[in-house]
Amino acid sequence: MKFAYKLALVILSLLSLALSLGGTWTIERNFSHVQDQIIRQSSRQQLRQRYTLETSFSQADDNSSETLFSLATLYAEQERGLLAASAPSFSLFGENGTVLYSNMPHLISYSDQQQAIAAGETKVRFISAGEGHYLLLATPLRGLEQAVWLVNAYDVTPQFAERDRQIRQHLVLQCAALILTGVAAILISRLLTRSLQKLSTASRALSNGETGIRVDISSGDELEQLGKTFNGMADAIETQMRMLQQETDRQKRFVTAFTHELKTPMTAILGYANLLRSGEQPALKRQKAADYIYHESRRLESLCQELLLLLGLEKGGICLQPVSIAAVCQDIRRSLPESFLHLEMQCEENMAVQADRALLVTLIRNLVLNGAAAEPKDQMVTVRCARQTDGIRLTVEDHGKGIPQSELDKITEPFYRVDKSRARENGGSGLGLSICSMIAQIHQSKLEFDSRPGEGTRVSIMLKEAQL
Amino acid sequence: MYPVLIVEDEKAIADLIEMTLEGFGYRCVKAFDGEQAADLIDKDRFDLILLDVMLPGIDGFSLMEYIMPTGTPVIFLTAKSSVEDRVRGLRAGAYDYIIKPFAPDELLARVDGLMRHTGRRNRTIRVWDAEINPDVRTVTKNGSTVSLTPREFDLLMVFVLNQGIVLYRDVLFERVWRLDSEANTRTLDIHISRLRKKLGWEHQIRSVPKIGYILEAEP
Repeated sequence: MKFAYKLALVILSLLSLALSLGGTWTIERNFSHVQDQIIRQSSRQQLRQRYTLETSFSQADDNSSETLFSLATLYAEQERGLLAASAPSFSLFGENGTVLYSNMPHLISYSDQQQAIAAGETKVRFISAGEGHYLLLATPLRGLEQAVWLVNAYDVTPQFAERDRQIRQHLVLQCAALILTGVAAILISRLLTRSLQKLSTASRALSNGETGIRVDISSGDELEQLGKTFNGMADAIETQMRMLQQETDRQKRFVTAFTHELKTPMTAILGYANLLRSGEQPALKRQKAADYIYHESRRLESLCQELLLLLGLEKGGICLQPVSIAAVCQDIRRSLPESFLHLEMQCEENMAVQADRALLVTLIRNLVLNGAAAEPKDQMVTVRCARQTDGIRLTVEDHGKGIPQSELDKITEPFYRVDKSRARENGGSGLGLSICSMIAQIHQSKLEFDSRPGEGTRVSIMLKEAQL
Repeated sequence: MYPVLIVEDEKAIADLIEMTLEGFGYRCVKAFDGEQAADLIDKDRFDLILLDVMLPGIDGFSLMEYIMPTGTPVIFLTAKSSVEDRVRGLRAGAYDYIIKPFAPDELLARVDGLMRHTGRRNRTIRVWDAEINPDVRTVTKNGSTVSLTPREFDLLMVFVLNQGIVLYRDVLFERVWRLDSEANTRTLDIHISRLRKKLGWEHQIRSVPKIGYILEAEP
């Protein structure tokens, strides 16, 4: 059942209950007031009748049943002459319930009258007989030889009819009110739950993967708040989905690149080995094949080493210590091949950074080798280090061919190469900058690239200063 | 007869392909990137293009669109082995697909098969006085059919694909019998003597002591 209908139903039930209770109470109060009036009036009338009858009977010679009957008949005729149709019906009962006189309507039974007598003088009884309603009053006649009870019946049918009419009228009124209110309640609840409907549609869309969905609720109440919360949640989901997607894409690219990186040397090694083992090849061919097998194996080996280094770095657990920049510079110089082009180091004396010495050397060395691979016009790569307010900045700069702006955000991805064929010929595995970037991350820093094609590249990293 | 164009950015592999195909008499031209390949395709005609999918610059699939109008058959060489990649390559109009790492023999068989299917080479291979049809696996000599068992035919094909090269016994055995443990190198010697007898190649298939056998190159 829809919430809007539930709400409407609750409103209707409450209204119906209130109207019914209110109506019943009002009608009953009115009616009981009318009853009191009738009772008072009837009692007065009965009292008058009683006196008249008592006077009449006491003046009689004897109180035999016959005498009483004739006197009562006489009295009834007088009354009828005086009051015409509105004269009250009455009965007289002698001892042991014998009827002395009665002009009661047939509808009022003997037992009803007897019950009225048994109830006594103070009680009043309303009875319904056939279509009509009557008020029965009983009172004993005093000053007679035998106990005689006077029972009066007053016709109260019009009063009861009036009450029934009021109830009917109230019911009609209540129905009309309920119908009107019902329609209004449904409309209002629908209006109120429209926001919920929107939220429900949006939630369903979200769970179906439409992460771009948002709701627009401006009702200025809790629902608007809920809408805002929902939008916040959708934002968060969208962001996380995008990040997850990016991560998956990155991994997919890594696997594809890695497969390619692995399969190329494998193909060459397998192919040449197969050639060599199948039969006696001419010396020149044999020499070439062996050469390729050797170099491709070397390539696989260095790929393996770098991959292991990268995986090791990802695992973490590296301890940073104060390292002197001068020592790092020495290590770098020593690790570079003899034939290396000119490396200039502009570093202040007595500077130290918080770092892992071997990793920092690997980082700077890789950057220097990259700089050299960019074929600088002046045959020079410069390493600079400068003290700044928040640490020490190490910069590696070359005046080579530079990196296009569009490639800058991809160059730290594993196996990504700007110039694909050339870099491989130079023996690069394509992991160099990934390793550098990971090392920077371990030092709670990151590589910052500033490059212009044709002019050169500057890569820098900010490190925490340390005291030796 | 036009040459085969090898488009492969890895020099090691380009050389390997060239070495393999040259032994069987195919002339080869090499291109190391997409642009170079496109230039060559513009300028010259080729019987076949062996195309690496991952190329610097223009990749293999893009180059495919460029090659299509020339009607030159293409075999893709790739490290990508997923079904969708293969389907993509074949949809793009490639004739065949070879996944790295590949055995040179497999490459040669595919290339040779393609050449004969597309009518760029004779349907039959002529070796000495025998005509071999690899598609229906029949051999005829002087107009009459020589009946060979499947193993004998496989053995003959290994010799034909490596004509003029001394083949090691173990490798010969391995290529024909794969990993059939029932057989041994004695089986190989028996098959070779049967082959010699059936084809009348007592001198053409020569035994090289301590090494193996050779199918002599034609003078």
